[in-house]
Amino acid sequence: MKEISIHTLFGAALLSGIAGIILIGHGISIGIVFLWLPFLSAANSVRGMAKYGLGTGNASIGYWGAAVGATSAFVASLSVSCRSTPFLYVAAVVAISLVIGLATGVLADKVIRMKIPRIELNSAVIAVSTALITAGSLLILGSNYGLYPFIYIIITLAVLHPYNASTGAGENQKRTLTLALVEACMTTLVIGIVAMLASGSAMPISDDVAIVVVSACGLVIAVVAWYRLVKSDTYEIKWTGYSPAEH
Amino acid sequence: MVDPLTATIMIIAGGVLVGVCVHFIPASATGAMAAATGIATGPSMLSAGAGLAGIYAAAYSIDSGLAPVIVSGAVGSALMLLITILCGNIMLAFGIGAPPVSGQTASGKSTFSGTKDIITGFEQEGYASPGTDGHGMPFQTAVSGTIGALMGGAGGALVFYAVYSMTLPEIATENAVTLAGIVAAGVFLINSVLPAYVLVGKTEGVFDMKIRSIHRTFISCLVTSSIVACVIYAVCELAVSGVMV
Repeated sequence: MKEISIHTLFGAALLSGIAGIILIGHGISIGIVFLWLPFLSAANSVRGMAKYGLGTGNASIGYWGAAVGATSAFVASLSVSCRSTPFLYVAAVVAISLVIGLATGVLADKVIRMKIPRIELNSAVIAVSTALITAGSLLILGSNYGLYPFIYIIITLAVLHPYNASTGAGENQKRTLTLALVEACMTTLVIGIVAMLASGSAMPISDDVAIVVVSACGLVIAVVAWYRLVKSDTYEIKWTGYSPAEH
Repeated sequence: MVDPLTATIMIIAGGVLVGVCVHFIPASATGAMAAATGIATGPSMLSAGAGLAGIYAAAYSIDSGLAPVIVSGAVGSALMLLITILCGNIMLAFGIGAPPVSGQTASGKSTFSGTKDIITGFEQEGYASPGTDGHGMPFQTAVSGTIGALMGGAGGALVFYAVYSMTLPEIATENAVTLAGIVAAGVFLINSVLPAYVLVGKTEGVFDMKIRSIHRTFISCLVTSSIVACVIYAVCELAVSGVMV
């Protein structure tokens, strides 16, 4: 089966992420569903880098990518108001993360001489995708500094885990990306719940409830799709019904 | 507090220290099966852990000035690593009966020639189980790790203090501490993953031949940290001068 190219997925993720952030910036919190594509794009690039046998684990790549993305988003929020000018904010975040991600990739390729094809492209894609997700999450949760480490960790886990869990001889892009979608829905669900708790009002705000409901629906659909793929991919090693014989 | 330009240089210096420290910290994923010398995890993750411990320690002394912050970060990080090494050695020695031995030294491939521990003089050859590249953390490796952790902790604390100084005029103290902590952790993670490409998942610290490629790590971390530092400087300057878009 033909795989989706990095360029196509990243292009879609970039447009979708920007659209999501602008929607959230204008008070339409449900725009968070547009951030699911950046999750897929980042997980796809972790896969692209890690399948060549890095000198580091999948976890490190996820942590590194999210560190670039999150740091860009956090730092940019100091000077560019994410609430009043969401478009300028997203432009600043994308520019900063793109420069740092691309620079690190080029250094890993040219100075450290890692022979991984398209390492600079994948680095930049992970950095920008995670930066978009962080920026969206910051808009939802507001400038509550205590939640910054939490935002960073949940995004990191959703980005690094899909390939880490699917890796092996029978790994394929479709299953890995479906798992990434499962984790994207799970992450937005958690963000919705935290936004509800952090709002401090006695009654949950309808925007936050909408995030939780849509994410929960997405989660159910994605889990069912992923489970079907797992079942169809494991038919070859299904138990025969006989216990192992002693020879 | 330090002025913004000094803070920028501190971020660059801290980032480079963090990158270089990874070469000193013994780590190996196969160490989990007692099949290689070093703490049983990837070098980057271990260094990041030591760095985060350093940043936590540094945060406690943030009001005491630069020197206590750096010392606190370095000591916190070194303590974390030494406790990990001690517990790892106890488990390996008493859990599975493998003596701490340097695989590279035992096979005569150490940076310093010879098959003896360079500090204690203990013979390493013959103690490594067949088919393994050593196990546990012998004395020389532990010392190398401690030096690495001191450097990493100091580097993390430098970045932490620099970002704190830069953001303090703009936001409240407790928020500045949180923001500086998470940005310092970000800089730590960005720089600690770069050397992992050089180390290919395993190092015994100074006594591993891979220490000779430290210049590549140095250059990469210098460039990356400079870009990150310039971005932080530019944004903080804009914020402090009241240019809030």
